[in-house]
Amino acid sequence: MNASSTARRRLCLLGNEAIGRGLVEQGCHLVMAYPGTPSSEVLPAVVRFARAEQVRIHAEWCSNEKVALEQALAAGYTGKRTAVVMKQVGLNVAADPLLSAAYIGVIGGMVIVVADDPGPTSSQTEQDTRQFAHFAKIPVLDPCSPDEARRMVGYAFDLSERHETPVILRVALRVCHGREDIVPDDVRTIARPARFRRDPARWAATPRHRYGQHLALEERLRAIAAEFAENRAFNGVTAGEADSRFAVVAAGNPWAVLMDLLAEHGLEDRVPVLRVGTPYPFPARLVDEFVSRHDEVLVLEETDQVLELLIEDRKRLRGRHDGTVPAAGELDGAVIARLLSERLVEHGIVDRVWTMGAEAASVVEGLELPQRRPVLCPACPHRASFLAIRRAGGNRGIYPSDIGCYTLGINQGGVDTCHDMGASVAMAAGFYQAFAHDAPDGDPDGRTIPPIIATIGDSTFYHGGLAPLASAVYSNARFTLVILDNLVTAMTGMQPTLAGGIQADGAMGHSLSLEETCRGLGIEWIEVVDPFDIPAMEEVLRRAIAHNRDPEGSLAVVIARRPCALDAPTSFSRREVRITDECDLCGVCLKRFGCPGLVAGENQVEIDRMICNDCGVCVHACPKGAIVQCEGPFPDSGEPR
Amino acid sequence: MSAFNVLLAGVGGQGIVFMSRVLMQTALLRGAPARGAETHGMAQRGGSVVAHVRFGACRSPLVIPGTGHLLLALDCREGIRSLKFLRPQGLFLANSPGPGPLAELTDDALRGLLARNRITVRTLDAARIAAGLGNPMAVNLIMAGFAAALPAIPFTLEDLRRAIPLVARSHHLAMIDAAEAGHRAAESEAD
Repeated sequence: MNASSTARRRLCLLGNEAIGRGLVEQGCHLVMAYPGTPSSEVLPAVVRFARAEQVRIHAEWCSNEKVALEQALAAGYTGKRTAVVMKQVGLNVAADPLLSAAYIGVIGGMVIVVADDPGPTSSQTEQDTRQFAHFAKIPVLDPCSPDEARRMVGYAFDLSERHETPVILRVALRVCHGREDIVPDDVRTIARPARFRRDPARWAATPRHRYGQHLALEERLRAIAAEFAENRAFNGVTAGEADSRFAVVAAGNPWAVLMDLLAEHGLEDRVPVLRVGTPYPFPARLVDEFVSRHDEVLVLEETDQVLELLIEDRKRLRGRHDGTVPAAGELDGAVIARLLSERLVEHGIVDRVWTMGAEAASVVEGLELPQRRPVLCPACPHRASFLAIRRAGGNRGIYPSDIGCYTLGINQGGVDTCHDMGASVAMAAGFYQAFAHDAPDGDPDGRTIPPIIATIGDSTFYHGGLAPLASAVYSNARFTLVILDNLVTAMTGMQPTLAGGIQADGAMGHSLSLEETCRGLGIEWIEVVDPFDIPAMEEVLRRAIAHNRDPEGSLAVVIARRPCALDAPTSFSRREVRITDECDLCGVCLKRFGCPGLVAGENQVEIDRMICNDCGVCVHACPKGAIVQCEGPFPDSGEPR
Repeated sequence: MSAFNVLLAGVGGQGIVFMSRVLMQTALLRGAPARGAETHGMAQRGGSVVAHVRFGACRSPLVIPGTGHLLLALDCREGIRSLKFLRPQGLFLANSPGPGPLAELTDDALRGLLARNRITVRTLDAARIAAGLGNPMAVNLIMAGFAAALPAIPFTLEDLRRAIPLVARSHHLAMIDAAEAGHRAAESEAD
C-alpha cells in the first residue's frame, strides 16, 4: 500500500488505535507493552499501521510493565524513539524504573502511554496517573479526545527529546475506548542508528551523582512548567464571558462532557471554561491567573484531585476537597449535569437544577430489573476448573486467585482473594505460613491447615507469579497452585502469551513451557489436566492436596490446559445438552457452575439455546444426573442417552 | 447543528461494538463527523453493554442522559435500563420476543413515563427473524436495518450496505441480508 494514499483517508479510530497511529506517524522505533484494559488496543494498532505503511517497528508484548519500561529505557539511551504502553495499575509494577527514569532520562524520545479507568470498569483501583506523574516528577499530558491523543504523541516526543526526559501520555477510559473520525498525518521515518555513549556517571549514577541529577530535574521541570503555561494547543479558555463570577477549570473527557452540556443549554458564551491538557509540571501562571479572575471556580477532572491541589488559591475552588465533586466513580453526563447546574442555580445563571434522565432512572429502578453481572463464557475452561477445585477443596478450602477472566470464578465460590498481578501465589504462601504457625509439629491430617488452592492464568503467571513461586519453593510453603492455561491473554482481547510464543506481529518466537518453568524452579509435583474432564481433575487435585499434607511432600502445581472457548470455538466437540425430568430445580448447577446457558425455569432448570455452546461440562455439575448430553453431534430427534 | 445521539443497549456477546462501528462508518461515508464510546474488558463477558454513537458535531463520545434521539436495544430489558438516555419524543426500538410487549413494558409507571415524555416504542422479534435466516447472531444488523427504515434516522439501508463490508472481515453478504430483513420488517409493519 502506498503510504500517502492511506494517510489521506479518513479513519474511524478508537482512541487507542489513534495513539498507535500517532506512534507510527512520529517515527517511533520500538514499542513495549503489557495488555490491560483500557490500554490493550494500542500495540496491535502499531503493528497494523506499521505494516500498512511499510515501516519497521519493533512491537513487543513483554512479560510485565516493569520489563517493558526497562527495555524501552535502554533503547532510549541509544537514541531510538520508544513508547511503553500499559494500564494504570501497570504503572505500579513499573514504578521502580519510572522514578529513576525521571532523574537519569533518555536520549531518544520516550512516551509512556498509561490508561486510567474511571468507574472503575475493568480495574482494581481508580488511581490517577497524573498524580503518579507528579510524584515521579515526569511531565504528563491529558488529552480529551482520540484525535488529540494522536496529536499529543508528536508533542510528547518533541518535549521528551528537547528535555531528555520520558513523557507520560495519560489517557482515560473515554478517550481510549472513544471512537472518532480522524484525518491521519503522513508517516515520518527517522533514521537513527543505535549508538550507546558510555557515561557511567549518568546511566549508572551513584547517590552522589543522583543529587546533582535531582537538582537538574527540578530545573527542567521549572522550564517545562513555563513552556506549558504558554501552550495554547492543549490549554486555553474554551468558552465564556471573561468577567463572570463563576468559572470552570476542566480536563479530559469531563471537559468534553461539560462543553456538550453548555452547548445543549445554550450557555457556551456565558460560563468561562479553562481547559488544561498539560497538568504537570503545573502551568501555574496560566491556571492561577484564570482562577484569580473569578470568585468561584469548579474543578472537573478525573480520576482524582490534581489540578485542584496544585492551584494556589484553593479558597475559590469547588471540587473534591469540599465534596462538590464525588470522590469516586466516573464523571459522566448525569453527574456533571447535576453538580454543574447546582452551581449555576447558586449563581443565578439558570433557575433550576438539571435533572437529565433522572425521572426515567427512578422509574426504571422501580422495575427492579435483574442485574447482569459479568460471567465466564459458555464452554469456558475456567468454569470447569472451578467446579473441580471447589469439589476437591470443599467449604474449608481457601482460594486465593488473581487478575484475569478467572476472577469471575468468584461466582462459583472458587475465588476468595483477588489483589494484584501474581498475588495469588504469594497469598497462598502467606495463608499457609499463617496456619502452619499454629501447627509446630506438622499437620499430616490437615486438621489445622485447610486445603489452599490458588488459581492464576498463564499470562499472569509470567507477569508476576514467578518471583513469589520461587519464594514459596525456597520456604517450603505447602499449597496447590492451579495454572489456568487457556493459551491466550483472554480478558484483554486475546493477546499472545509467553507460553504460546507468538509475537505481537504474529511471527513465531520462542515458547516457554509452563511445566519446564515450574520444574526449573525446583517443583517436583506437577500434573497437567484437561479441565473439561471434571472427575480426572478433581482426582488430581485431591492427590495434590494429599501431597501438600504429606510430611515428605511439598508444593504442588496443576496445569489445567484447554484453549479459551472464545478464542478457539472449534477446540471442543459439541453434542446437544438436555435437562431430564429428574431436575427438581435444586439450584446446585446454577450456584456452583453458573453457566449463562443454564437458567432457572418455573419448576426446572432450562437451557438457553441461544447461549449454550453444547460443551457438556454441566453434565458433571448436576448431583442428580439430570443434565445429559446426546451421543451424536446435534441429533434432529431422539432420546437423550 | 447539534449531534444526533444513538444508544445501543444489549448484553456482552451480542455484537454491540461491531454494530456501533458499522453505524459510525455510515457517518464517515457521508462525510459527517461522528464519535462513539464502546465497552471493552471485563464488562464484555455477558454483562450489560451500552455503546454510544453520535452523528454530527459534539465533543464527548458520551451521550448525556436526557439527550438521546434513538435507543436501539438488542435486548428489551437492557433497553429499558438505558431509557434515562432518551430525550422527550425520543425513539425506543427493541428486540423483544413474541407478538405482544414484554411484561416490563406494560408496567404502569413505565407506560406513564413513556407517555409523559412522548417516547415512541416499537418492538421487533429480531431473534425470530435471525433464526429464520439461519444466523442467530444477526440480531444486531436486523435491528440496524429496522431503524434505517424509519424517518429522521441519520443512516439508510444503502448506507448500511456500503458500511458493512468496510467494517466486517467476512460474511458481508449474510450481514447485509440481515439488515435488509430488518428493513423489510419495518416496512411490512408500516403497511
